[in-house]
Amino acid sequence: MIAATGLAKSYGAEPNRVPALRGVDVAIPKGTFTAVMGPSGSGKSTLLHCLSGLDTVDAGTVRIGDTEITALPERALTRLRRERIGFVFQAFNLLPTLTAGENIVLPLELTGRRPDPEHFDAVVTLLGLADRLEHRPAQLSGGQAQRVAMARALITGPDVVFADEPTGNLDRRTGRELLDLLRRSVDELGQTVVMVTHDPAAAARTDRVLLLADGRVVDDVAEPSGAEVLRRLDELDGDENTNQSTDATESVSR
Amino acid sequence: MRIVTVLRRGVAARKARGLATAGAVAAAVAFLASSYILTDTVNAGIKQQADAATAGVSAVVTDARGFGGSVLTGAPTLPVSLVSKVRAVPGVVAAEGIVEGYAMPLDQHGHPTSGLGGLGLSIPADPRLRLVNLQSGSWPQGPDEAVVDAGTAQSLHLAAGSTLHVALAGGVRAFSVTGTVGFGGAQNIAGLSVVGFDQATAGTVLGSGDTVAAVEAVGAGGIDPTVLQARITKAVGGDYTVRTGAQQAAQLVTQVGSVTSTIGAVLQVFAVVSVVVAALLIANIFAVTVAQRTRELALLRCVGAGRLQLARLVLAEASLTGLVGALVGLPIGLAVTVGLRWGFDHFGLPLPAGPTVIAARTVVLCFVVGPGISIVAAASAARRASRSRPLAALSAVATGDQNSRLSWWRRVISVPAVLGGAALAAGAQGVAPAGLGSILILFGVGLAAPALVRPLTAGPRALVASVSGFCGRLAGRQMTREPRRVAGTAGTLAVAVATVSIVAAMAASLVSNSELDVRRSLHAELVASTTPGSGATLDPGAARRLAALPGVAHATGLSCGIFKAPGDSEKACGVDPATLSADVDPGVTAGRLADLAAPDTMAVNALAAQRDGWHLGQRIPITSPIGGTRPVRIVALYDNEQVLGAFLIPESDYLREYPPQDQGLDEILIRTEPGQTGPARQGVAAVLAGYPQAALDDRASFAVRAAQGFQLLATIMTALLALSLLIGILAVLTSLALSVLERTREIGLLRAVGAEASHIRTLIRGEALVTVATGTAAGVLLGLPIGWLLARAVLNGHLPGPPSIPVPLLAVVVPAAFVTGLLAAVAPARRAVRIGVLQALRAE
Repeated sequence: MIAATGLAKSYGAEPNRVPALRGVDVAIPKGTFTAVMGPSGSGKSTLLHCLSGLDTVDAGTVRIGDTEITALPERALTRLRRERIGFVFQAFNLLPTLTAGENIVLPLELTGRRPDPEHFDAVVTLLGLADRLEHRPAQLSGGQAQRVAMARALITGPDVVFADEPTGNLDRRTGRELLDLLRRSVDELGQTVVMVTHDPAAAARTDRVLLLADGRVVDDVAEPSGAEVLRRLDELDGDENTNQSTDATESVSR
Repeated sequence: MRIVTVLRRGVAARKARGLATAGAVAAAVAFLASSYILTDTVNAGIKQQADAATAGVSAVVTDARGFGGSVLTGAPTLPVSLVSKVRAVPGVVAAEGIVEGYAMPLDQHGHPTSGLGGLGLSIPADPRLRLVNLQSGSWPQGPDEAVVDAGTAQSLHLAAGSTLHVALAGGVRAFSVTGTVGFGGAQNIAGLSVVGFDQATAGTVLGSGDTVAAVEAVGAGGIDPTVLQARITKAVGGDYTVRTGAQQAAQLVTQVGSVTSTIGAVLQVFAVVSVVVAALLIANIFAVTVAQRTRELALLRCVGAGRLQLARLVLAEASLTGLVGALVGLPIGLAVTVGLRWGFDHFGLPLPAGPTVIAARTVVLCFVVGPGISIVAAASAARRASRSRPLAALSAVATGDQNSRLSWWRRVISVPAVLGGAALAAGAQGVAPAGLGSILILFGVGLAAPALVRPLTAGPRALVASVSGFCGRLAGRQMTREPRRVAGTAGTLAVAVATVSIVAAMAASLVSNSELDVRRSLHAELVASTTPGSGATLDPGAARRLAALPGVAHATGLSCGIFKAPGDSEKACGVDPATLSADVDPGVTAGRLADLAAPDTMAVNALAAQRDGWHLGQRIPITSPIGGTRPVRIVALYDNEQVLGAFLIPESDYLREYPPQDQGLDEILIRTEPGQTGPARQGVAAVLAGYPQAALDDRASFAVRAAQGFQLLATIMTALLALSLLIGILAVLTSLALSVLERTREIGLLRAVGAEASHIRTLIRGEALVTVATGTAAGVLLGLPIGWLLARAVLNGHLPGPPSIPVPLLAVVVPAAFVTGLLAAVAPARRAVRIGVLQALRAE
């Protein structure tokens, strides 16, 4: 269970302060797959960074399980990220000097822990990386690299995996495959996943979509379909009276 | 769009890199500047003092054969009768003989005050002939009075009326100080202590007897000094050289300058070493940054920049930073000069005082060398930049793994260079080919360095991984990822460490060779010796008093003096072959030492004979101060020269051929009765307490003392070379800092997945340690054998002992390199730790 109440965050100093979050309350139950959507600048990424302890908050609380993380000192936050949170980024962010297998166990190696072989095998098998473990990142395709990044996020058995536009750098087919894997990790491993995305098709694979605009949660769609998500996004554009096409519509019309 | 704008923004955007490059140039320029400023300053000081000393003198008569020894005028070889001959020359209104010799002021504890030497001087009665001028008090009169140089007076708190103890060849004597003297405005000359006596006293206490070192004359008003010079020359004949006052001043500058120019030459060698090390550092920085900017450069090509424009861009940036480096380096050099002068003073080697001289030549040189080394060092990077393919801008190239394979020309050149260099250095009989061989070895290894990184770093990598675990392993991976950069960084450090090791190994080998020489040859239980080159001697009476002591079997004094052979000027000692073998075994390799009993013979150290091309039985015409030129026959060659020196002549010949002052003893060898060494030593020490210029040693400590000259030289050279180590460390620092900048994203990722600050620090520190360990090890492993080869070459291939390892020095240099290496990691590590995860992940 991840719960945030009254989250507020601004960037820059007065008088040019730009608010990114203006009082966000979210509760994400364990074992669910949640998408966070919204126009550019709506605060999606900021929300993800605050929920994962990568960024500090100005006001509000974030609880991951029983831990209130906004008050944690840097070291404890680092340990939390290492042990209880998994990350998947848009740019795969693998260490070029390590093989795929070494990249996967990186969070464990940092504390000198050995991976549980059964869990390692389960993750590697789930992601279809068994024959890629000795390859260097430079020798992997984009889809393979992102699956390695995902395996790295799953290897610690984290409370939650945060994925920041994980399909952004992938073509449609590999993107779809990755979403399948995220879906399966929720269904088969009971993983909790929170994903920021621009793609209504990707959002359609989740259990729930949180729509953000201007730093506030403006909509909460359970069991979304692609059409439903697109409609809600269009409504959002209509509310704001903008004629510009959003990223979302682009993505669907492509 | 002007390419200059790109350059200016490029430099501004990469301040750290620019600072590192300019810093390296500044360090090299500072060294270069200080070597010239120091030499110029010292020479100007000497010139000023020499001019002041000879200001009132119209003409100076000295020995034409130019026997050195004394500082101002030469050895006292001229008969006193010469003075009246000069006085009789028309136009001469005054002429007097000048006497010089050893006279060392002692401090309140009875220790000599100067490490360089003490100069005893006669003060002529005619004020115009005096080399020194009175700064306070009055001139000395009578056998118990003396003046002392103002510098010594100041350090010993002497004033007119104080009592000063002076060490003389005949023992310590107390004088009443009547005043202080200087040379013009300066307190002393060439850093020597000076004690002045009246004419009669000087002849007695300085042991010159009825000889003088020079005759000085003053001409009547209006007489051209050159006219007077010609007249005196005619009167005294061809055996003597007559100089005008100005010529004598110039001669003095050359004579004293030859000592200080050695210091200048040594400094220049280090300036060259630091210029080379700095050039390596700069080359490395530019190689890295050009690789880093591949996309930027390719983009410029895409929008139509020509190849030459790109090369010019890199070169212009290099010359700009070089210029800044020179601007900063020059004042630093000035500061270093001040530091060096303080250092020399501190070690008892005071340099002539005088205002600091910054010659135009020095400034020009700095501004040529500063940008010059940057441009030369950046040339290869500029070439690479000009080869950027426009397409590289479009493909998303990450900083991929570098290739460690050598290009064909590196392979073709490096192996023969190393092998040829080794063969040349190992087979060399002279220093020049050995030096060339050494440079070839270093050059070849440098070319092959990228291929050597993986095997050479294997050990340190494994060590760091086993100590620091995962982060250590990660650091090791980083090393093999960029072999060229690591080769450049570790190589720069290796060159600096290698030069230190070469000097250390050479010195250690020469020291152990000299100690071995003494251990093999010395039979006498005790040795009383004076410092070579200080001019200090003991009167023959000292040896007789020692011989009469209870427990002493006999004591043999050794007198030595300069002789001239064709193309050579050497020091010969007079010995009696009958008693010599009881004291010393010189290790005769050819001929018989006993033949030295016959007159006009000589025994020569085998190495010296080989150097001069002399062989057994040959007749060599030699010139000694009194007897003139005569042929001597070489009757024996011997190995061990530390106790007796390299040239021996019969004692009877020596007594006849050398003036009274040269009859003083350089060394006394003392044999004790069996089992009486302990008690005898007490008696000997009591007698020698009257001769502070002599040190008393047993066999073991004399072996160490004999090698002290090398030891001191090696220490000074090492201290200076340590500064080039700093540049090597700067290379590690900049390379790490650049590497951290490049890997911002990777480090951010590590932080995101839970790496703590300590993990990141371990990673950067691990990289620093592997680089430093590899560089230091490579430097030591290259430097030691080269040092041995050079030492062997210095001794013409005769290094009898095994190669020695300079343990104490390495015990300092190696840990120091490690500690400074770790310190070099501090700033880059701090920077790496401060990288914010979010910015890092967004970074390009």
